[in-house]
Amino acid sequence: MNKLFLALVFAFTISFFSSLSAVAQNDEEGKELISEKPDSSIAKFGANRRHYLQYVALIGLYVDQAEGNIDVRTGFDFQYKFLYKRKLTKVLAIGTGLCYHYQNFVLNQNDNVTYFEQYFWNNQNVNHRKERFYQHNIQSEIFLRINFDPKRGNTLGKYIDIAGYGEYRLGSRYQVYDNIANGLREKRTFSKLNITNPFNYGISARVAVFDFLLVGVSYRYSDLFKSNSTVPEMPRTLAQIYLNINN
Amino acid sequence: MYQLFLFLPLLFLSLNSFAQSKYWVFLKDKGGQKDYIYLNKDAQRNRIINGVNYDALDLPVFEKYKDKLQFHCDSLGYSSRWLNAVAVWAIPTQIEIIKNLPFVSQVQLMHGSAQILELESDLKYKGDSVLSDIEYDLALRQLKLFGHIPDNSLHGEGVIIAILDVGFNNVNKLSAFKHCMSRIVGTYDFVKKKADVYDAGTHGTTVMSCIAGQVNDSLPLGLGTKAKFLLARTERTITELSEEEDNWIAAVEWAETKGARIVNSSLGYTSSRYFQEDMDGYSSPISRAANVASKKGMLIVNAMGNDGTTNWKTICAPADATEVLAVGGIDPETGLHIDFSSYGKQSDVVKPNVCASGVAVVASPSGGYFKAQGTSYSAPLVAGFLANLLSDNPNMTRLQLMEYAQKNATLYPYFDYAHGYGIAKQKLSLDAADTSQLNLVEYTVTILSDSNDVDYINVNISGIDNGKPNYLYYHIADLDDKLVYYNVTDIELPYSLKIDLLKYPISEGVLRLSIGGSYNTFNFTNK
Repeated sequence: MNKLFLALVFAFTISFFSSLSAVAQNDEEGKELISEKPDSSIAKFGANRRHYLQYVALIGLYVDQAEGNIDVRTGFDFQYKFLYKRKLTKVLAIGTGLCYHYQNFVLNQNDNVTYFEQYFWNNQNVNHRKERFYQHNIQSEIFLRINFDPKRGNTLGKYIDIAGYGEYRLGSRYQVYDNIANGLREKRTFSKLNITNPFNYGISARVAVFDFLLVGVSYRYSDLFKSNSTVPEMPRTLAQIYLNINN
Repeated sequence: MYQLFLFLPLLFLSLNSFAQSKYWVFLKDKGGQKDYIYLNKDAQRNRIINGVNYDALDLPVFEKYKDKLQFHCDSLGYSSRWLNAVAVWAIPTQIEIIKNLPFVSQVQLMHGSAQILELESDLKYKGDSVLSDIEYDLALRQLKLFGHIPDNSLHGEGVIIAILDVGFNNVNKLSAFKHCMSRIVGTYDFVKKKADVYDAGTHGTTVMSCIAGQVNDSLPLGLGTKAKFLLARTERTITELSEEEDNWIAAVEWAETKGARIVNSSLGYTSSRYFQEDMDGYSSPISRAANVASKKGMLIVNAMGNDGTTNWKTICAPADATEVLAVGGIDPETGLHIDFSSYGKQSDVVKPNVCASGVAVVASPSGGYFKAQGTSYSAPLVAGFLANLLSDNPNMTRLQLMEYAQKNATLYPYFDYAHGYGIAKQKLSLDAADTSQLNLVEYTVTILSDSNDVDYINVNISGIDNGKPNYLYYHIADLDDKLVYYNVTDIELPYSLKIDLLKYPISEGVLRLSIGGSYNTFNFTNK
């Protein structure tokens, strides 16, 4: 987890700084102070140009309930996306995205609800201090972008993206935290869960509210758990807030 | 479901963002009116000096057209007599109707916001009442760069300067402006439509101090300390889309009727509305209006922009307008282009036109003084310099003033797209020459070539090195005088330069070099 977190911070930092352009001046060879070939050709790359690469980070909250109306308290759902946009017209663009997706479900403790009990707790309903299930995924998507302000200069403007995504599970963990004797606490993590589906897919939509901020929603069609699993299916509808990193 | 409520406000915002928009509606004619707008005595005098006659641009927008537009849109903004256009708020269905009105020639969507051309300051708005040694030196240097100003100069006396900005917070209370309060001849807040401009943004305060500010009633921060001022607020402190451009145009038209001879604008429009290729001097309404303002006898001095280190990089509107004096920033220590100052080719004419210090000591709106940077301050420094010039030579026309600024700049006739013609400078009179300030090196530049039909050019530069930096500027231009390459190199004497012409996509052109006031040119044909 820590390594993944560090990798994430690293990727975020790299992409953030790469979005800042370098100064044209250089002092190579110790003496050259300014050297420029003025270029008045029309650029092909830019927020409202033919090609553009956008970095977004987003957090999400599940707004529906788990299977059987179980109220699963959502933990931290995080995604970091690279979105490539290909402009077709002033109004339309298509694109593709690559994303790291961390999804986390904090499971409310309830005497009447069982989650992973069949697999790890001899089918007995056990309440824990905290119980959670989380996954790391790599996700790709394709999207259609509809812009609402065709005269928007070289900015992304206001738009709606409608996307379909598929993701591959990199790893999933089931984790419990318990109080044990003498005030000590215990954390147990179970990995290599064979009850989760490796592939998932769904649809999503997002709206640019400001240049730097988007809101969106996604819906997962596929089940996180295999059909023969007894674990109730986790919530599917994710409300999201996006931050446009390289705006 | 409680999470859903967290998102409702954002969803509301997102829906709201697709509501009505603001448009410029351009009209075909002025409805046969014959009554010109009123110009005060100063404005009339300005027109006489500049040889400007009344024409159709001086007729107001026809009221009946405005009434009809009002009927078809949600609300009207400012109208421009120069553009013969009215700003309207409307939804797309309304704008479709407006497009088909018989007196409408064109409709243009307005979008985007202005940039305040100031960078993060070292001591943002927390001024010290006493200047540090570094600040004191900088305060002297920001004016010394303009050369020797004669002791009997009038410092803008009698010249009206309009300053367009986000507000002039506390100008009426600060000691830095105490000496010139009685010479503020007009104020108007075009955002809130009221006279008071002293309760809004602070940027205008710092900008104005680079024309008229004084430290402790003695040390001037600008060269127009005795000028008269028109202060116009055209921008919101917190940016709001689609609003500022018509305010700016309305303010310039207002300034013209009040007799402004110089307009300082440390604001600019870039990527929020335009592409780089739109910075051609006529694509943006604000640049077109700036050109008209100039033709009406005012000199618009506009900051070049602070995008030198961003993806945008190049000039902003309305600095791109042909008739506007675009001012870039230089490092006051080296005299060279300062990295944040926008540069590069877009406009068909040389931009920036001239440069001034991109770092300045300014008056803080909360009292005291601090060091700030941005081309926001380069422009008013030049505006003050020109006001001083104009007060000494009140019959100079706007064109003569602009020509003076360029022809007496440090690099003229050499130019590039980072420095323009160099630092605007007072013409050196023999009696005023302070030779200790000059880098008196005699350079010999030899261009070695048997003929003009060459692949490469060898240049030898010699002279006596006096220990000071020797900056060699050179550029290669095509036959239309558009630069295909420019360079500044700090050289040690003697120096040899070999320029491979095959690197540049032109068959014929000119090489120009400038070093220490020595200027050389060589026409070539690429083999």
